This record gives sequence, structure tokens and C-alpha cells, in this order.
Amino acid sequence: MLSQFLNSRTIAVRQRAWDKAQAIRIAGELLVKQKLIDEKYIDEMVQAVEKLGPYIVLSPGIAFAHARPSQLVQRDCVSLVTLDPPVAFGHPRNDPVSVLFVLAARQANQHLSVMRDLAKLIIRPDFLPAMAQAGSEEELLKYLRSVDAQS
Amino acid sequence: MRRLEVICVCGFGLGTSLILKMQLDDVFKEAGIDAEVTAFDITGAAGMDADLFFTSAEFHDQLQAGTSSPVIEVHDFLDKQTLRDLAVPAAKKVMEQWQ
Repeated sequence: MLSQFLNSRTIAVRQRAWDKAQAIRIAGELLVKQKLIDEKYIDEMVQAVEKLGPYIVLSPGIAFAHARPSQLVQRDCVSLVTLDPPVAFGHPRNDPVSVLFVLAARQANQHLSVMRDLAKLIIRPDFLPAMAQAGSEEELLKYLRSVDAQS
Repeated sequence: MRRLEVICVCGFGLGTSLILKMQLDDVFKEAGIDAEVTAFDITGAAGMDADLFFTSAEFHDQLQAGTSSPVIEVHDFLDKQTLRDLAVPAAKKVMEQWQ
């Protein structure tokens, strides 16, 4: 269930970021505030995207930031931020990013169940339009609840 | 008949490679190809062998250096049609060599 991970405290809509590092920081801070991850996990995500490249932009407009599973993560968690205006991550084909997820896992290979739900979510044809349309966190949650109800 | 062994690779093996694995599971199932698709991070995948590899552009060269099997570059993990057009012919080519 998406609602198990994504709620009013772990999503934010129409956030403004001047670059990918700030975008990742905005999405990561939601989880820091909930004490789900350590601030250092955000630094690791930013370093990862610098070092490993923009592969995290896995489809036009959609990025999944994450770092290595570690003890910096208190509990497996996810945040979701929509970016307005969209932000360039340096991907040759899939830029700019308008939807950013942060994934955090405490142990390797523990993310399968939520990833399955997230994959099902992002392959929906109405996903990107719904993200662009959501003008408030409540609207975005309403969409996610409707997706949960259909699964 | 032998099962096709497929490895999907991303940076840490918990995000993008799992999405690719799910997409490929569907693609191979729809095409009637018996395949075992596993998701790995780039460190874990080093030295692993499989019949086919799938990854994003960043890891293509690094993976190809370690294997004689085809390494297929994927740009849009959600574009199933393109994935099908890449994966099915590549799988069939590998399986032809088994006969």
C-alpha cells in the first residue's frame, strides 16, 4: 500500500529547487523531520548522484534518489516531491525532472514490497498528469488513495 | 529447456533495477520466454555472469568489460514497448545458440 509510506508528512507539491542537489535535499528533509533518516543520508544521496551519474532519472520526468542501505535509515521510508519548475538532473534524454522520490532502506534487498507498489504507480498513464495537476498535498494524497483503492 | 538468466543492474540495487526487473518479468512472460530476472547493484553484479544484462547508460561499459554476454542499455525504464523490442530479439538470439 502506497499510503503506508506516503502521507501528508512525506510528500510536498510544487517545490522550487535551483538544482538536483537542492531538490534531493527538499525531498530528504521531509524524512529527516520525521526522524526516519539521518541528515547524513541526504549527503550520501547527493554524493551518489554526483558520482554515479543521472541514472536515477529512469523515465522522462521521474527520478528515484537513494543511497546505499545503511544504519543512517531508522526505518524503510519513501518521500515524494513534485518540482515546479522541473529541474535538470543532467540526464541526456529524461530531463527535466518534475517528480522526485527519495527511497531509504535500512537493509539491502528490503525494499521490494514498496518498490512494487511504486513501480505500478509510475507506469500508470495518468501518473504524470496527476502529479502536475496536484496543487496541494491533499490533492496528491487523494490521487494516491484512489490508486491504492484500485489495487 | 534451459532457463534464460538475466541480470538488471543499478547503482545500489534497490531502486531502478527492481523496476527494470518487474518490467522485464512481464515482457518475457508475455513473449513466452522462460527467464529468471535478478536485480543487482553495480558492485554485486561485478563478476556475475548471465545470458543477458540490462542497465542504464552509465554502467554499460563497465559491465560489458566483464562479460562476453550482451549488455543492453535502457534509457526509459517505463517504456515497455521499447524494452520488448530490445529484450525479446536479444533473448531469442541467445537461445538460438543453445540449440
